[in-house]
Amino acid sequence: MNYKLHQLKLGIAALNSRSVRIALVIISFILFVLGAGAPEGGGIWGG
Amino acid sequence: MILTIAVIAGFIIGLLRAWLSKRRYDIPQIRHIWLVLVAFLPQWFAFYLPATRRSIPDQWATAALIGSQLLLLVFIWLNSYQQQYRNRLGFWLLGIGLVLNLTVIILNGGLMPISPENTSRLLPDATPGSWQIGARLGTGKDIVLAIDQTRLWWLSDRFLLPLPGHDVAFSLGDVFIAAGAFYVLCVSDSTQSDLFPKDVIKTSTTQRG
Repeated sequence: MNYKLHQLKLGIAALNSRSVRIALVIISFILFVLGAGAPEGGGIWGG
Repeated sequence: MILTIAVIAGFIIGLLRAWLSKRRYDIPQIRHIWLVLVAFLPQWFAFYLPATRRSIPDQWATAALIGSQLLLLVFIWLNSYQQQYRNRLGFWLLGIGLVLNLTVIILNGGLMPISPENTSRLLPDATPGSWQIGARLGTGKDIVLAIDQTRLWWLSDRFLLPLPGHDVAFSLGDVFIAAGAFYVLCVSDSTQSDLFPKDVIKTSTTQRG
């Protein structure tokens, strides 16, 4: 049980780490621009 | 993808700037990220997911687009005033772009207008009847409208960017959104905060020592 709790704490610590935070922000910004923007066309370049 | 490229370019150039100035790259604290995920979901089903976008009626798609963008506006509003002054510019640019797009979308029935001329440039090989004036363009966010039928046409998808193989049509709002995302990831810096200015941090550190 203690081991599992320790693993959980490590997982939460990883979520709070700087690189994970940066990755989350970049993913959220990609979703934001896809949602807020409205370009059309361009095949793989569109959107 | 052109907007996604702005995000990735901002991140890469931000990393380079940090590396050249020998400091750690960081980005501002973003609050309420869950709002972006919740806001994007309706658009994911209405415009992106092939399994659902063809079966969702246009009226639902327009509601999804407007509702989603209103939520994104709340996200920007909640974040912009919590940022330090230097970082606010990026959020303001994002907000201005979003408001411009949302305005022209609402005024033209819930979708982003695009002129028949630009549509022809985008789809030079389209079969006759595959698109028509007054109708939604495929399963995307655009509606084909003549310029004289378009309210605030200068905010519509009026710009064309020629890319290899395909052109891309985009709006003035898209330009602001791309610039804002680029700015936030490239220029912003969370190491200097209004809440904890450098001199205060130094003072507290000295007192501890």
